[in-house]
Amino acid sequence: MTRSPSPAPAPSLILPDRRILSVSDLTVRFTTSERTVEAVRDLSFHVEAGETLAIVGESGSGKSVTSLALMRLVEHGGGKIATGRMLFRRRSGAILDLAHASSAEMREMRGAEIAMIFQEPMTSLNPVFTAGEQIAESIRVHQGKGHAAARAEALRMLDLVRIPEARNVLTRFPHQLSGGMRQRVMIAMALACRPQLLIADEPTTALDVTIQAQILELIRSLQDEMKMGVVFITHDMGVVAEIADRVLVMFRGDKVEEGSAAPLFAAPRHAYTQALLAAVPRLGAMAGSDLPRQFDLLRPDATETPAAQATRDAPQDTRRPGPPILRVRDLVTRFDIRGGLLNRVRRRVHAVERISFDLQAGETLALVGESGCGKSTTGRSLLRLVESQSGLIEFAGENIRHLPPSKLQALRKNIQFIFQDPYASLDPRLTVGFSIMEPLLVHGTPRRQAEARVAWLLERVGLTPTQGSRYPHEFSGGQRQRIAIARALALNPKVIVADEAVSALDVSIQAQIVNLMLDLQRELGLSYLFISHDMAVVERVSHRVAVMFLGQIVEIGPRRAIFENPQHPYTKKLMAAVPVADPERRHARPRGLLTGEIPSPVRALGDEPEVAPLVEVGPGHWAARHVVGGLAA
Amino acid sequence: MTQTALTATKAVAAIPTGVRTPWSEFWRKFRRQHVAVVALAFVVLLVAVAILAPWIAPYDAETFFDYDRINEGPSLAHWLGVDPLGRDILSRILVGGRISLATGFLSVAIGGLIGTVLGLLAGYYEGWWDRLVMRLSDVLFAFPGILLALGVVAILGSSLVNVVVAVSVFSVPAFARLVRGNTLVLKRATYVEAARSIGASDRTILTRHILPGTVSSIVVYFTMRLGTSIITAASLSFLGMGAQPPTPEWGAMLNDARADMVSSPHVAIFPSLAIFLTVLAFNLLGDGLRDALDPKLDRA
Repeated sequence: MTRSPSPAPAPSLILPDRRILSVSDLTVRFTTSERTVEAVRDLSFHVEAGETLAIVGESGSGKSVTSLALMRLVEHGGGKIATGRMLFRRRSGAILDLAHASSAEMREMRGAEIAMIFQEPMTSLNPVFTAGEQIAESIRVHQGKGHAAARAEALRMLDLVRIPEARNVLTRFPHQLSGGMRQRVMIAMALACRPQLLIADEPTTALDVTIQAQILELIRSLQDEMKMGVVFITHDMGVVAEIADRVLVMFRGDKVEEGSAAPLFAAPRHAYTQALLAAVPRLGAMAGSDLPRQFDLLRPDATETPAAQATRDAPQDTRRPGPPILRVRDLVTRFDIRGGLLNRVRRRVHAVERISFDLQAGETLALVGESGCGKSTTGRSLLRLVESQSGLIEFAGENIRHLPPSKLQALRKNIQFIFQDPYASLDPRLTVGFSIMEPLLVHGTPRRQAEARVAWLLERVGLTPTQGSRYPHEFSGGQRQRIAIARALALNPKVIVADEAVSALDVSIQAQIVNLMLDLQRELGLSYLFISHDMAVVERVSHRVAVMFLGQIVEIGPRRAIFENPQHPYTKKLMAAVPVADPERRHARPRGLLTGEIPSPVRALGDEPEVAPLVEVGPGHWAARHVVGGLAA
Repeated sequence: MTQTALTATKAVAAIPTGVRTPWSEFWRKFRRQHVAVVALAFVVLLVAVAILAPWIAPYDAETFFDYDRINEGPSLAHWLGVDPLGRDILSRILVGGRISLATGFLSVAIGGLIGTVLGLLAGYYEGWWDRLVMRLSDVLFAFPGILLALGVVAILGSSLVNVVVAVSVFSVPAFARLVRGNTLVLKRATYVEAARSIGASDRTILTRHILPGTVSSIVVYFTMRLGTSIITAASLSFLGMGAQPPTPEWGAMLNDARADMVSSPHVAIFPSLAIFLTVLAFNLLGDGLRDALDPKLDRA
């Protein structure tokens, strides 16, 4: 059956009938001047035609290294395939061991028989060529077609990946396309030569949920049409449940579990898989309850007393009655886009359009929405990190918007900010102890007292005081976010604005940080403005939720009301797009709801968006009834 | 607060080991570059010699005249020979090193300081101040450096002090641009925004977060610029606009050598060699510093 081109076909190069890839005992080593790291150890798996294998794991698990090893790109990164075989069935039917293929053979196959999609579509497309040219190039190189034929084929591929007005997109440059469009172009490029195997390395991680849902659906239906094998690499169990036939779980370079998706999700055997699944925030997990609750962690602290555990598991009612601590009314923040010869204002980004909300003491209000909806700008406006144009921001009875700079400092003591990327928010040249101490010093605390508080803060967020003399690069992502939280807590603030504070973290770390934030809220009575795009995390932590779309709040109300009875079409769309970590429910999602792009908040001068007061649809539950970005209730 | 006091004692008690400070990181990377280490050693030697010159020079650089050996080549008595006036070239080069290093260092230090402050403020506040500083820099950049310095010296009169002024004037815009560019990038860094969000003043942000971030490029540029400045200062003296006779400045020594260049080339060769090696050492050192300090080149 094997028509191997090599002179003496080795008897062992045999694959079962429908199998296109079989990896056995793969070990990848990275050698630096100081030590040797085994990124992948003795890994074996296989992929059948028309099947999707999801490789899941957290950062450092070796899942991306595995994909690079399959493409033999790992050598460019300094890695080496130490042992193992990667048998691949070529289009011709010949079986080839990828681990020992020549670089000429690999070049011939890359893009043609094995294709790859990367996480960041902007950096994997060449900015100086049009989308059409890039797809056509791959077709010309691998299929030997002429310019005109390749171009026609590129157009056909863009139609295949459901790009509206494909003919126009052909001549556009990558920066003129949205993130979702770019990822579609990447997929079109990858599939242009109809590969047997598609490797997708976190292809939807950088995308918004509604766009992610569209791309996942696209990959699934294309796979049905083309009968290719897919290796799908992701850290998101929700995405795995959406797409995988079989799942391979990796932990620090080792395979810990492998199996069909449904049984694996229903009854994970390995403790790590159980922990991973337990840490995945599930939409709907909080149905029927009004209050936030901590994540159950499957690695309980041995020293924890039953009483402490009980407080941890109990729903948290931390809200205190009284006047709201923060009141926002009709806040407007816009950014000018200048251009032309005279550098005049041409257009404006309507980042925040007349939004209003209250925040009670001890309450968590979540601001949810997709990129460009203005949720981050709202958070920054509260601290006057960006200047807003009109409206009222009242903290403890004082309008922040008109504070003189001298009083602004005192305000910033009470409202603190946690940024998405903890590494970027810590000065790399200062010890983390100093970074935590800095707010205290800025506000005039004596050094000795400040040092004592830093030690206390470090312990409070689960680190040791001695780690204060280290530098940010010596910590892991989760530890850095703990440091950022300690820094935000230094001044005993009343309100913390957490801007996507857990989005960049692995799920198990994310659950720990969320629990830490809930602990701190219970003990210190903090109010959080929790800015996030992740509906499942929001469901866990918040008392109330505000949904933002195109700079406006389209729906606001108690969390339970919003999640169980969403009123605005955009809220419904957002909920439907969230991947559900349950393969059984894969086909239950309403189809057709998820189409179209996220509209842009950039408008020409004088073209004001329609803004109207929200309408009360339930107790404390308000929704927009006017048209926002083409969506109306 | 009792809890606070308790943990504080713990914090003081434990002193961690093996902390990777930015300084130790720099040294680890710098040590690997052998050429730069040699250049550094040469610069250290140069500075030591310059400081000790009056004591180690075999003869007095200005007042000793050996009329019997005018224009004589290297010998045991005069290792690098004698110049047209009978002075010992080695002594003059050693003492002249003092002048060259001092003028180079002073002029770059003054220019660097002014340029850094202007660049920091221009990059941080932008607006009309930024436009003013940058347009002035453009004007200064439009002149060839040596011509600009000549102009300054022509107006102020020829003396070593004025050479320092002239060379620092044309160092200012280079530093201002460099620092402004870095400031523009750094002020958008999240950690700068984080500092603002805790209520830090502009001064704190500039001195604690932005300036340290740009110090590495300033140091690198400073080192490279030293070489250029030494050449410019020497050129001015060569043209008779800087150090006046009998001051043993390297450029001035070359000027003295002009008349008898063909018959006694050693008079020109040794001062040239001194200039060449010094500038080369500073440039190599600058390259090495850049490779060790630039985070873009190695983020291991």
